[in-house]
Amino acid sequence: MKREIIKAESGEVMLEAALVLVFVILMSIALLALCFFIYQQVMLNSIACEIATRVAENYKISRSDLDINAREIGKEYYTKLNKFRLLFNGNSEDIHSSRASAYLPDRIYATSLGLDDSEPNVKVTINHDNIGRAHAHVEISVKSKFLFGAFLEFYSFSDETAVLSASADANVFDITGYAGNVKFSRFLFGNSVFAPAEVAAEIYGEGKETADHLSGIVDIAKKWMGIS
Amino acid sequence: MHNKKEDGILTLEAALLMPLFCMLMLFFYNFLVFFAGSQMITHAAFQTAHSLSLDSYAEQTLKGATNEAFISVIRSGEGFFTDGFSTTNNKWYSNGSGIDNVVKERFEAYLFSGKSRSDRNALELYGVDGANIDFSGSKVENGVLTIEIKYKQSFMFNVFDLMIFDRTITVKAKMWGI
Amino acid sequence: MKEIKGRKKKLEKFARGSISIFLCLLLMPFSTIALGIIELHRYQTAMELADELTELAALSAMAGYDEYLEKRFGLFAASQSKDINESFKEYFNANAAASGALITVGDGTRVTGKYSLNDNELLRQQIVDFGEATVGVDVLLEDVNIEEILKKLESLKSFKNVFDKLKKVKDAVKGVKELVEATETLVQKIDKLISYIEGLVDKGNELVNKASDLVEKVKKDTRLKNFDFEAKFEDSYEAIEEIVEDYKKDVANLAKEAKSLFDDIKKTDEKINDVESALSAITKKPDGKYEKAKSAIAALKTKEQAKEGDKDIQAISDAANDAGSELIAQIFDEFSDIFESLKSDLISSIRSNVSNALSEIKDNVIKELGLDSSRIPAIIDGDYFTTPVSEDVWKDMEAILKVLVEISKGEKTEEELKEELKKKFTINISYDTIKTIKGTINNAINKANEALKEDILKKISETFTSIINIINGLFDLDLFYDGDLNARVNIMSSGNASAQQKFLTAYDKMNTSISNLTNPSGNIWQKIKNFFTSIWTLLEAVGDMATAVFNIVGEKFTAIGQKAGLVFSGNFKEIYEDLIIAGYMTHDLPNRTNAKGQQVTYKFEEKDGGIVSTKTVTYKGLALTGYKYADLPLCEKTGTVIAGTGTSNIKNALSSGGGSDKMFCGAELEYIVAGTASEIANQTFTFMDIYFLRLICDLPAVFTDGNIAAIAGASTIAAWAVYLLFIIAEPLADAVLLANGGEVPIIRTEAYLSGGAGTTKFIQKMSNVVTQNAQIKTLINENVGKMAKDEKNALPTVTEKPSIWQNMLDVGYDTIVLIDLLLFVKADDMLMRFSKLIELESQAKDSNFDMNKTYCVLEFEPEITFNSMIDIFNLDDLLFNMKPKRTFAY
Repeated sequence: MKREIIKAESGEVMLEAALVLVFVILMSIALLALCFFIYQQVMLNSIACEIATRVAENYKISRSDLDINAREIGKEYYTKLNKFRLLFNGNSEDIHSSRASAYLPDRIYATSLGLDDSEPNVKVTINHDNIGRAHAHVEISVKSKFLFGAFLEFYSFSDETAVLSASADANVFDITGYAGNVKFSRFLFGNSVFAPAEVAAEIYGEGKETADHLSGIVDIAKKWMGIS
Repeated sequence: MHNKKEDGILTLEAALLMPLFCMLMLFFYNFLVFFAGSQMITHAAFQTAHSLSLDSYAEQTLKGATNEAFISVIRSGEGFFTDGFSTTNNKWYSNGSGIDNVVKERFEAYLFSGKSRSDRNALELYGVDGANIDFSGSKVENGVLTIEIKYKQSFMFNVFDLMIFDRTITVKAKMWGI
Repeated sequence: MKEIKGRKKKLEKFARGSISIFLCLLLMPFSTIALGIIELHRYQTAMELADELTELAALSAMAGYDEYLEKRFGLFAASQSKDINESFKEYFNANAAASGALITVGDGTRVTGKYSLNDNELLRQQIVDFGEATVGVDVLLEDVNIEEILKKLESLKSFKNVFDKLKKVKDAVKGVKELVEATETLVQKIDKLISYIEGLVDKGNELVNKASDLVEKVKKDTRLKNFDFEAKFEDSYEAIEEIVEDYKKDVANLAKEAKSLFDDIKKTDEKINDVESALSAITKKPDGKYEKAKSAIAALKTKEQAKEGDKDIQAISDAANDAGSELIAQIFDEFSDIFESLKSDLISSIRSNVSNALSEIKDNVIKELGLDSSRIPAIIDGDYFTTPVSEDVWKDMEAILKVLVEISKGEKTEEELKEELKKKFTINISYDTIKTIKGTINNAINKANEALKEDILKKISETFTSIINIINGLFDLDLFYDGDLNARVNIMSSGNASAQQKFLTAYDKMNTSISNLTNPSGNIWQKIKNFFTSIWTLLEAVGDMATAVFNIVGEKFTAIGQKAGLVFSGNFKEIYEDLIIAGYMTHDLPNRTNAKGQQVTYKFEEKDGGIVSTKTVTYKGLALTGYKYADLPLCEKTGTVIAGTGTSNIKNALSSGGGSDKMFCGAELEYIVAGTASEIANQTFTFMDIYFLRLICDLPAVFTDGNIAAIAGASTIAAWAVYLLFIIAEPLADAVLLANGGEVPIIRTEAYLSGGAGTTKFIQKMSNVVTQNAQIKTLINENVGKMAKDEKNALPTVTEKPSIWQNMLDVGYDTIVLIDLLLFVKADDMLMRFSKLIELESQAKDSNFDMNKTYCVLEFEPEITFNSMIDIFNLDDLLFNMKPKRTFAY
């Protein structure tokens, strides 16, 4: 009897030890998975800031052949800038998005702690803030699978494959574009060259001449922008 | 029934130590979050300085234009452009007061991708008290903009307020055109 | 039991603290992983913040831009008076703290300029950035639709054909002139021949007389009774021999003249054939095309085709083209009377008469002189001198002596002898025949002269002189440059005015030949000869002028075609930047019409013992950037005067060189156009350039103007020269008007200088812009009044303004220079000159300014060290290659 008791007691410890240890191990692994998860999220924040900054600083060179990570930029890039960057956006969003897309997977791979990062996605939008001013808004997302990721799901923290996203904004670095637009405003509404009354007459005034002029401007503007 | 007092000692130990262990580990992870939070704020602060430092160029260039008022209306058209990224007060840097509000507005725009964004509470995740960020130290002197952002950032396990840190970020930038 | 107890104890002992140990064991790797991850994140954050830090510090450092460049030109470059290096370091170090303890900054932080605005490509980019909206709107709203202008200019191209046709007139007139010259030579030679023949007759007569005297002598001589002829008459024989020698010479000369006459007849014959074929190539009977063209032009003027201006230019051009062909026909219609009388009367009668005369000479003269008729061809072919003539002459002498012997024998009376001698030596028949040729020529010339109409040359001369007077008068007013803007700066000249110089030289030649054009005087023959010579000389000079004009027009059309081609094929993008640059230059730089204010003050100062007056001109107006021209560091005026009048003044002005002035005085735009060191040269060059452009734009006006058609009609043979003179004169009116602040329609359809409604308009326009309006009014009215008009050739006058041109707004100096720059000046040249201008202006403000240091692309090299929390990983190598160098451009 005593022996049984002892046996029973002994098993109790074993059982307890087994249960507790399993629990502790599970908890620890979950903590580890959480660590990966948090890291992945802050890394994405960091990458979003990085891409936003990079896009913004070379915003004026909206050329798809310019590596987003390029730091020393040759003259050839500074001599063929997009037209009407800050007035009509110059179709640059797509280019910046594709430049960022080319960079994102490698960038994630370089520092990711995920087991598998799929569908990295980045979208760059250029938002206009004021006369001649704009900022780049970057949104990135990625599907990451972590080591012990199932535990996160188990603890209802996230799905096993977590969809992570981050966004950041940065001021575009385009002094000449900005200054050009400011001076354009001054020219339109501020110079004695072009009194507001004349502008009003020119824009709102009746008459074939004005209409002809305006349609001419529209035609040429369309040509410049490659619409027609 | 001897040694009964030693029954469940493992559980007890685990029960006592596990939270401690978890706390310790989470404390480590909190560093990540903490750094991430300050990175976000620093990024926003730099962008704010960048953005604000250019405001004066337009102001100085358009100053004295024959139809200054008209331009001013366009420039201050809040909602006309994206929210928070430009200011309703064109000459904010010249009158000494109210700079903190301008800085705040711009800062929040860059921090939240627009000041009216709903995920303002995101800051809480990083332990930052978003409601009490202090910009009062910001100023423009001799054409140099100084942005001073004072905020409190706390750790996840802020026991007895011991883990609250007073953070100050100071960013300087040259105002364009002045 | 003990054992069990012991085991249990062991187990308990083991269990006790096992979790702690286990957790402790876990803690080590877990915390290491956590710290590693934190470090990894810190590193990324550090790199990202370092980028932002650099960017913000770069932005702040770049805020120290060159203010003058920015305010004056809208260009951005790092200031040369501020230490951008220090500034960058200051902001970089100040902001580094914001990154927390992530990074430490070193002392090696520095900035280097990479590219400056001295690089044309970067300058171009900045101008385009600045001007894309401003210039675009300015050009489109304030100026005109460039595309439309190009279209209209392009459609003027077909006028080239008109010129090509007109050029043929010169060739035809050249042929006629050569014919007349050949005829004149022929007449001269016939004259000479006649005089020889006359001499020959005289000599024959003398011979007869001497022979007669001899006979008398012989008769009286008593010694003749015992006549030893050879011994007794030695003296007389010698005398006869002398006469025969002379005679021999004369015969030789006669043969020579006859040969020459044959040659000339041959040449004249060839010339006649040439002229005949030249004329038949261009002379066609008018089939009414000219009339059709006239009515077509007239119809165009009244048509209501508001939007089809281009088609109308095309139609005018086509009509002018037809009219051009017809004009030639008409000229030769007028000319055909002269030509016919020359051709039928003169040439054919010369032909028949000369051959008659020659046969007379052959049959009578030479034969009677005892020359074998079979030798005539030899004489004519020129081998006279190879065959000794002496034998023949001796034969003659023998014949004479035979007669003398007969006389001495008293077989014939003196009268009989004289008669016989006369008979033997007379050449009167052939002489008379030759004389009739002269009469025929004179008849033909008389007829031609009648056909010429007495006052035709006078008319032409007066018309030409009047037009030339207007041109010279306008040149003499010195309106082609503003003498107040006369700086000579110290720069390398990049302009080349050779085309302008060539044009002016051709103009001078024409000018001289027109002033030499006087009504021919003297006898009829000289009159007609002089007429053709004058016309020929004039047309030759006008032809040179035309060539100069065609060359320039051709070049301009090529340039227009190239640009227009780009536009019409939808490649507007390619010339878009050029347009922005040209527009920027036009509206940002002061020019002679927009910068100078009204006030002129004189400053007197003592210099080198004398008082020197310095003129100071105040400036008004704003640059495109909003900069006041009055604030420009412009040169002080010193009152340089270019010597000369008319074209020599222009030539001198064009070739005036540089000097030591620091800046131009307000004609900076003209420097962009011309690129020379002299402001006056630049103005003149620009003036000439505008003139050439306007020359093209005024073609419809010249070809559709009724008055010009009437003046050309009155000038008959020189009609096309009248058109050319108006083609030359009309754009001058425009250029003078434009260069002095006036406005003209882009394509003009009314002539300003022909005395019609356009003239009134021109005088009105001029009076608004220049003070010399009274002189201009007199100049034009007086000279226009002198121009002869042939009313039957006038185009119907349309008084109402043709509506097709109504949508073409008047353009001013700015627009014309803009078009000129866009079409004819390479963008690279503009930028090169502009860059020089920036340097001059900036150096006038700050002598230390260096264009090579106007950095607009800068390289920022911060020295950053990442503060590692745990120094185990070398993340620099592991993850990123840390390249702190950054390039930023304004």
